[in-house]
Amino acid sequence: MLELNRVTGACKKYERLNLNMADQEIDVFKAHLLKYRKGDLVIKEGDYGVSIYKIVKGKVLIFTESGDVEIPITTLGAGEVIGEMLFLKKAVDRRSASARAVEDSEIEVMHPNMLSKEYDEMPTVIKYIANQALNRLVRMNKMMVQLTARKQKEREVTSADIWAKKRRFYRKKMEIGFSGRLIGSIARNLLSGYINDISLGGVGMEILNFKSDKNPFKAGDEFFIKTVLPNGKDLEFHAKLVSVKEGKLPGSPFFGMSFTELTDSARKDLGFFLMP
Amino acid sequence: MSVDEFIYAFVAKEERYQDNDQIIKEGASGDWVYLIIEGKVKVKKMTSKGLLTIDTLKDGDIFGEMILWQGSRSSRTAYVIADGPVNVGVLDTEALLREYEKLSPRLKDLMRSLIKRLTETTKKAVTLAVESE
Repeated sequence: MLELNRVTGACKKYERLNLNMADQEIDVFKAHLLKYRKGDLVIKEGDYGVSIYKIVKGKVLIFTESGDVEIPITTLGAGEVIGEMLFLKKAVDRRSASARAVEDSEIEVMHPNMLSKEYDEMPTVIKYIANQALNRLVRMNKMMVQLTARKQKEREVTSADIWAKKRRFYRKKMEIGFSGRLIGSIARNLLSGYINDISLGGVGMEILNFKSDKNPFKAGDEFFIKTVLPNGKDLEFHAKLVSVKEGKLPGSPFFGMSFTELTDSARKDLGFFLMP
Repeated sequence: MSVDEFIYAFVAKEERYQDNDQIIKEGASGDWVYLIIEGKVKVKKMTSKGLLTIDTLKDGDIFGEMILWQGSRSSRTAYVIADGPVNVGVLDTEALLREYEKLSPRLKDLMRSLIKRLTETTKKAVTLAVESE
């Protein structure tokens, strides 16, 4: 970690230095050779940066992040360049992907001003084609991040199903009153009725304060619920609406909910209550 | 026509395609680079679940340019299909390569890196799209 801080610190200092001196002494700039240990971050997605990196020795993984999922894109080796996108865009912008050394690596860092004369001499038609490739790359990156986000959502739904199954297996039949409210909403979005079954995964509740055709809630809504267990213990929890069915009373909805937040003491109380 | 003159200067000949005509076949060889003069095309990749559209290009856009950086004798990385009637210009590859050769070695590295990134990212996006079908 210390090593990582030292290296990224050095880079930041380097970039700052060059940004300030950029206009004056371009010729004296030499590419700096930086050493990275296996695991060190070279570029962090979302950071502002202008430098261009050329791998001299070692291997670097390019990856992007969607939520907390890391998507590896490609591994680069000696002679290959990182940070070319922002250079070709001619913009100070955020990095669109991260880069991490996957081996001990040596990387040459260049300030864009070192290349600006060469860029100015770049034939117009090649600039044009480079720009097109760049725009296409930006579109592909977006597509990839969107697809990953969608996949993640699907995974969340699947885990909700697992909770529903758990509830079916361990639930205990009962009939206790409860009151609840929608989290992050005004008091009008209230919920009251009877809890018909409960497990360590969630609850099934008969709703009495509105009819099925007036149900303002949908799957995914999260509630704060209060009740008193038959053994006299108060129980409070957060739960997410998983399914809506017809209740036993005509026209009344029946909510299947899975816990999203249950304190340790509430879990203990509930555990005792659920013991056979 | 929304095509810049300097790029139009590289057009060796023009070709017309009708809706759904195949202009480039994935996997085939060929070293032409194309410029869309008027109309639209779809870029598609063959996947285990059939053809997948990954991009739409319009007037002024270039396709088939990967061949420039990968060298001739490499194969096409995607299908390009006309989306409605389309008028394309076939660019003079020799002239383009002469321009490319003018680049400094460092900028050539940069271009190669950009194209590799584009190729790898496209592959990855296609894999994800197929998985999430």
